[in-house]
Amino acid sequence: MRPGRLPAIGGSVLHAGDAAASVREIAHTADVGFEVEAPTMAALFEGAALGLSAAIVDLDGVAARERRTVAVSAVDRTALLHDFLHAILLLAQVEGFLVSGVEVQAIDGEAVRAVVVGEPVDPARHRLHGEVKAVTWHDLAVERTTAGWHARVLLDV
Amino acid sequence: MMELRRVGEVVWEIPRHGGMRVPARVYASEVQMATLRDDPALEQLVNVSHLPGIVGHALAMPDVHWGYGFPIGGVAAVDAEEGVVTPGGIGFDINCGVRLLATRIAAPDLGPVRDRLADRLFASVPAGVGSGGAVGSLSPRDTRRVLERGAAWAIEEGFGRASDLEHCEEEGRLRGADPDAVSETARTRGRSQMGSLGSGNHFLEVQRVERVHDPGAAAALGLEEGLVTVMIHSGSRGLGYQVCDDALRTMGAAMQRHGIAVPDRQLACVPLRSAEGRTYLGAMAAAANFAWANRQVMAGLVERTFGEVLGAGPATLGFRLVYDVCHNVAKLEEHVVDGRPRRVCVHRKGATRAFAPGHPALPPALRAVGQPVIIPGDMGRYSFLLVGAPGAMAESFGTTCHGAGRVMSRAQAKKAGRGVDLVAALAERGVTVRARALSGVAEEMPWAYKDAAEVVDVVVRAGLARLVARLVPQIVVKG
Repeated sequence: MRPGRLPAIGGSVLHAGDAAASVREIAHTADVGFEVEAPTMAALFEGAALGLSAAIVDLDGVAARERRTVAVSAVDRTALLHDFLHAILLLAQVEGFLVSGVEVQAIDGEAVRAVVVGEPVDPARHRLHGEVKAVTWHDLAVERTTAGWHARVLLDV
Repeated sequence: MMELRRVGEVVWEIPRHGGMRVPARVYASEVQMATLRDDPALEQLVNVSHLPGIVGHALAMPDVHWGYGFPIGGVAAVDAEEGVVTPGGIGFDINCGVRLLATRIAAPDLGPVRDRLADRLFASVPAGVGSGGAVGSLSPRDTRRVLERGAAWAIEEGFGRASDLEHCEEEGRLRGADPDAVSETARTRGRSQMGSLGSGNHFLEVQRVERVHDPGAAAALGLEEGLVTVMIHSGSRGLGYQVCDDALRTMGAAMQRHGIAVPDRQLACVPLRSAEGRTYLGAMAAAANFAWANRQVMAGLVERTFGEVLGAGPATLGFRLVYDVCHNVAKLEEHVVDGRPRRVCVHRKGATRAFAPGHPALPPALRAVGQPVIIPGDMGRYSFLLVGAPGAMAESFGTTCHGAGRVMSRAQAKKAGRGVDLVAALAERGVTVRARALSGVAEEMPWAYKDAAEVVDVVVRAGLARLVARLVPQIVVKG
């Protein structure tokens, strides 16, 4: 674990890590998508998780009050990213827990474990963007680049 | 650039090439084709034509646009014995669909209560995003009954009336539903969402019948110029999304075993007759039934709310279900392919069944007029009521378009809306809007969509459907 990267519980800012993942929205006619670039696979997954969370809610308004652990395994890197994001989506949709910060603690090509911080949804206070139905497999990619890692994610909204 | 041959006034063909098992056909005007030609949706249509067992043509309706896996507005019929089922050809929102309610309320009568009615509808029909549905949390027993019985469950719970069933596609209940094939996660996602709209392009709209194009059909369906209608667009909510997600994971792993390769992982598929295929079809039917129950509950809430606000009883209000169609589903049907009847599984992803007059699947009340087809446009202009026509049976596996089709991404639409008072802009068009998030309104503004009239014009010219009436929005409630 890389200490000090998560905001303290009770804080109000999102991911304060040193991962330097950059997340960029993709123009897609029907749905919402984003690309992530990061120096490490851990940072890539962190960036993608925040990209998903930002599609659900304005992250600025989500405080880091509680922690949850997310652990998934899958047959390959692409499936791993899909299932990791799906787990974050279920946190929002089943438990009503909005994520504002992510730290990947351990990752290889087939398993990931992360701690996320955030708080229970409050429709009166949080600026929800609407419902993300699913993380699609269409064009989903996790690739190594010369600079590190690249991912492409399309959401069904 | 992809080769496109014009084979009819509004029909274009992509000849077989590469791994295509059948040619693809696109319904579009010349003007629409000029912009569609370079759209990724056509590449996706070509991918669809790779599906094992596909027969006839892979089809795109004139509202086709770039989706994930299948294009939205795509249709594929596969042989019921040899073919595959692909959840990507149905979508995450299984049985996303539209229902249209007719009333005996004269549109001017809404004038004095319009704002209050908008407020009350907004309050009584929840979005279910960050909040629950209208009927609280479903018990495990009720969840099972919903999955087995569909709209009939909602009627038994006091929403709507028994006669509504014959005005729903499949009578509001897809046979073959297998509640046990629906995962616990899917049940959990849907449990508190019964009777909720969702967000995105889902809506509840109070409309006025602006123009009747086919008086005979309109009269048979209970529509008159100047009367109020209500349209509800929603689907199977989190339960359906999870059924699709579960199936894609299972099928992705099973494809290799079945010796199937597809050009896009979202098109993961398995033989219809395989264990995975049968499990998915059972779960899909159960999710479809959840969606019918959901729309039935919301229709009941709408009628109650009108009664409270207008202080009138059911006889005065005259609520009556015109029809309820699904536009994301796969169904086993019989169609004539290459001159002989064949049992096929028709995948409709953003496309509507449009059975012609006389079809045996239609109830007696609709057999002479044909199956009603509901085409929502955008919330600033108009929507349409059509009926299926013989051309659909001959050419498109009894299918027509489902809506206007987007032309702008959500981000582009939001950008176009910056600095614009969206609520005032809609008010200028005579539309009262209530929405939980203005960003959602911006994404769905008229400029983000094709003109639904042009889409409808193409399917009418192609002989897939007949135009019955044009409906204009009065009140729009967004999730």
